[in-house]
Amino acid sequence: MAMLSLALKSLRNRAGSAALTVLTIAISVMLLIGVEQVRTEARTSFANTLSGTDLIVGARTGQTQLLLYSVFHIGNASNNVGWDSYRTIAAHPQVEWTIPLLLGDSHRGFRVLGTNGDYFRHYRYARDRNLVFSSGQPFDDLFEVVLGAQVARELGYQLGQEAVIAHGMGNTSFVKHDDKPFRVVGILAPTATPIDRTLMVSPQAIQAIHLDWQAGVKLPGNSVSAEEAREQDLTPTELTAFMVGLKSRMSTFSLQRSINNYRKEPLQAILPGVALAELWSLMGVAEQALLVISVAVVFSGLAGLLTVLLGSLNERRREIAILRSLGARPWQLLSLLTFEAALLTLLGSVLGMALLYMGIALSQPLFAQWLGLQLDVSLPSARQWIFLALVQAAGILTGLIPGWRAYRYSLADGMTIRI
Amino acid sequence: MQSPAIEIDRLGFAWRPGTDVLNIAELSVQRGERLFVQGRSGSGKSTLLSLMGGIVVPTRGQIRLLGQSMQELGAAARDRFRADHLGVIFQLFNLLPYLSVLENVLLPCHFSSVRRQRVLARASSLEDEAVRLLQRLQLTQPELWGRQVSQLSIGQQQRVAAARALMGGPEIIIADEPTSALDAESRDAFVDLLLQECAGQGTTVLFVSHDAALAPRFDRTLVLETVRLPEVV
Ligand SMILES: Nc1ncnc2c1ncn2[C@@H]1O[C@H](COP(=O)(O)OP(=O)(O)OP(=O)(O)O)[C@@H](O)[C@H]1O
Ligand SMILES: [Mg+2]
Repeated sequence: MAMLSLALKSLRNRAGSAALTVLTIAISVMLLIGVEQVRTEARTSFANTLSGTDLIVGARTGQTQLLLYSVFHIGNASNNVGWDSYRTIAAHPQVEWTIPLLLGDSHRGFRVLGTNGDYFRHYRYARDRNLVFSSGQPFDDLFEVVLGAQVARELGYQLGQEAVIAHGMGNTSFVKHDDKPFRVVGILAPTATPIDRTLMVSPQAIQAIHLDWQAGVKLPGNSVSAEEAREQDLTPTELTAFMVGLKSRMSTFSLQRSINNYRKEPLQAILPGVALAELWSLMGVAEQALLVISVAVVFSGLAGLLTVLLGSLNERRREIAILRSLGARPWQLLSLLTFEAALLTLLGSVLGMALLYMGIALSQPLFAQWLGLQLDVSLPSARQWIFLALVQAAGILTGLIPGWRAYRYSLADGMTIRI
Repeated sequence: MQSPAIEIDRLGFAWRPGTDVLNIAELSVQRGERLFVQGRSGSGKSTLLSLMGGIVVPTRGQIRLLGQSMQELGAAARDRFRADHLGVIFQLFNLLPYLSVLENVLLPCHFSSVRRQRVLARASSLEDEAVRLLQRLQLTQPELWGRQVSQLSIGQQQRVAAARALMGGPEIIIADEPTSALDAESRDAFVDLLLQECAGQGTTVLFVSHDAALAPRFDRTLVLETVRLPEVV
């Protein structure tokens, strides 16, 4: 009891350096727990990049590759899926809805996706969020386009403006489909997913802009005008991939199996959750590196604590001798310094969490808008509690070092004050 | 009859094996007696006080305080004994810098319930007794009691240290060159005040100094010789 109040008074006497130490620890704890929270949230949100979709179907490739080009719009499909096969599977009694995905065209560096109205109805991202229009509505007409948030922002497009969509990839496509301009009818709110960088049109529109093309070469002479295009049958012959929503989750595996064994062409159906988890584990190294760095920051914080405690120890050697002459036991002196370290660490953790919560509260909208991460001010998770406990334990262990020296001094100095 | 305050019997002590720093064949100090311990630097004066305080135990021989043999006590019991029965005054830096003057004087009562009870048996509160002692040592202004110790002169600090050593009426007071940083006038004043108060309480005093001028104020002087070689018997 006496030692406890002495420890507190002694700390109060060194309030300045103690406050700095607490701040150092607070910042490292804030970083550690903050990184952990963002990491967890990023993983959850990544795993839900696509939610509500039960299967993704494409030509037979690796599951990661199919996921990458269908959901993340990274890379290209080596093979397409026949429109007939798509219609056949879409008509399966267990299938509730399907979203066709036609990729391969671009507009000034942004991908163009051919899809239908179900995309806006059924696509779910980041923990079950719907696509929301910041202005306008889904496309209805053949030559209407919906823009992702970033596309609209970077290209400065407004509702009603016209856009020219090119065949192929890249900004500098040497021939552009400039004869069939599209009108902007909708702009999506930011999702922090690849959708932000995408232009969406109907599958028929994709077909229309390719009418006068064959094998990637523009046919000379007979260019088809927009009006003529409307007259033709614009049902696509192929599509890149499609998403499937089922009436009942129970049938996921049986449908997956029958698609994988589809006879007319080699198809592959993947479970988005499984594929996303696999993809995340590929990126796990970066995630681990982030965590390792924040653990290193905690250690540097504790090293600061150790420096301060050891630095003050020489001066406190007198204090140790005085307390010893008054009857204090060596272990009491050990616990005096260890308690101090424990208290500073605890205060640091509490302050760090307070700073973190303040930071989250302030930056919440930014995280949601730019990274699609929904950070909440909530009680620490079990994992975070473990981290906090480990920090506390490390703080106490750190305190044992000056504590042990105090113990040694108390025995070696005898009844003299050594300076 | 009460046992003597201090009894030493063929005491030998070495910090490192084989090199004795202290050899005392026999010493007996009665209760209330005031002993002046004199010796050159390195003669083992501070070491003797460490032995008395029970922080170290004799290599050979016996040391008894108030009839209690120090070697027979465990480390914890020796710490307890020191807290209960000994008051210590150092050469310098006696006070905890983060406590006020009054809090410093009250310290022994935090570490020893024996001393706390002893105070409460004759004073109405711990603070009253602390104030009484401070006044006896001529620290009379109340303004001074609440001060930070760093704002005191060295002489005042040593008197506060004396008040703390006396708090709770320990049987033995040991002082290790408490006057070496004081000028002759404050030195004499300090020693007079300390001895006066000890006489009042019947306290045994062991006062270490290299300053022979102080010897006449004490009942007896023990001169420690620097031990050169371990004695071979
Ligand atoms: N804690 C210790 N560990 C090891 N050796 C010590 C320790 N304290 C003292 N010594 C040694 O014991 C001898 C006696 O030292 P001590 O401090 O008792 O002398 P002293 O008479 O008090 O001297 P001074 O008048 O200078 O204070 C010295 O040779 C010293 O080096
Ligand atoms: Mg000495």
